Amino acid sequence: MTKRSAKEILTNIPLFLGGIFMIYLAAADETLFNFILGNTIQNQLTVALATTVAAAVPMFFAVGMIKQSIVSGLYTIYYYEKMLQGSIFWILSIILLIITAAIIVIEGVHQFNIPILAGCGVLSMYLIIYTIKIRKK
Amino acid sequence: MDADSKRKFQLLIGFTVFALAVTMSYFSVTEVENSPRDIYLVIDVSGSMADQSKITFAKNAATEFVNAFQLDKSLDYRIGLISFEVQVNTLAKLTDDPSGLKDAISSLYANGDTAMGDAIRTADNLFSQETGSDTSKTVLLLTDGVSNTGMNPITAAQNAKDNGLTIFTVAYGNDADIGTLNQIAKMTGGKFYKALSGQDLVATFANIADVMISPAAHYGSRTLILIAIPILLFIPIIERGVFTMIHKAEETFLDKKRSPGRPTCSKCGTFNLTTSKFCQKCGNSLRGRI
Repeated sequence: MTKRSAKEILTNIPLFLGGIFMIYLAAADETLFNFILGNTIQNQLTVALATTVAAAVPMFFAVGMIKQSIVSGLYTIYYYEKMLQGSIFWILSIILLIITAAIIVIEGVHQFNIPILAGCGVLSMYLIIYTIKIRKK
Repeated sequence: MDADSKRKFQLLIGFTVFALAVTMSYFSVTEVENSPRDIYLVIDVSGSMADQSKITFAKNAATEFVNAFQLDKSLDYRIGLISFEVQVNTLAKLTDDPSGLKDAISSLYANGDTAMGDAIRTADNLFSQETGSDTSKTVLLLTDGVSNTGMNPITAAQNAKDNGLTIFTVAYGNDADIGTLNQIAKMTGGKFYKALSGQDLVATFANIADVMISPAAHYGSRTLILIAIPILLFIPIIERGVFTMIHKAEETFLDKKRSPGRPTCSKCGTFNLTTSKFCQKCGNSLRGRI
């Protein structure tokens, strides 16, 4: 393994872990889902919409992070690729993480959602640094 | 098709996949059929509940909860009331009479320590006496503090879980034992809620009533969305894969079509309808029967 590829892997590890964290938010975490449903009337339509938002939005960002970290050679659709190259994708990810963290704080922090809150905090800080680097380039 | 049209076409396919997933997701949200459900409201009436009119809000929340079930119109639900401080008191056994229940709720008053574990055990015992096996057994536990006397609440919850009880827990105010309440809810398949103010508490009880009356299963629909997003975004890869497969299938089909008996050039592969031993196109020798 060359020094350069080793450095690239090390650079990409946080982004990959961020992608895994986002997949967890999309697949298993109920924060967004409960928040949406808690503020609307519960019926089949609102449950479907809350599910769509709670699963699709974090998954959208998870795919981007994993793509940029370990499978950067694979092409996604043109407009998504453009988003990934700019800083807007990363800014939107940070906004999503901050919203999730804010919901947790508003609804109440307890031992089961502390890891999610910590994950949101750490990942958003990393993404802020990452975005600044992209903008400098 | 030029590059721009191709990109737009990919986007269109992507949105179609997503719309399809959302539609399927809508239909996979299932309203679980209402099975008979017995509920015990287990309310903390320890001394701390006397602060800031907490007990008044607890009474209002419990009354709203009972109203939501419309017990006089439905045969599916029965509700009972247990209060706990140092002692555990069964103020109303499971009933479908809302007025009796509301009288019991209005008689709640705050005094003493918090025996949360004993209260769970009492509910568990009452369910085993009063409830049949075909009925869901649910406890809605409200407390504003920490269990400081009697049985360990986690042990009581474990026993309750073994007997098929589901426990919804509500932490009221900032001093409630959130960790224990969350653990009790998780281990028994219930849900944990937190209410910081009296208004929150009333809204939380109404929300729990909604969940109990019309529970909705949404995990199937969530899976659909999770699969649809990567498919949508990786359409170029999928497209390339599909084209490669089609191309290979075409080649295999053509290879089969080429009869081994027909004269084919060993170099350029051209069919030769000739009696000559050499290819008419490149002059190399032919293979196959001439």
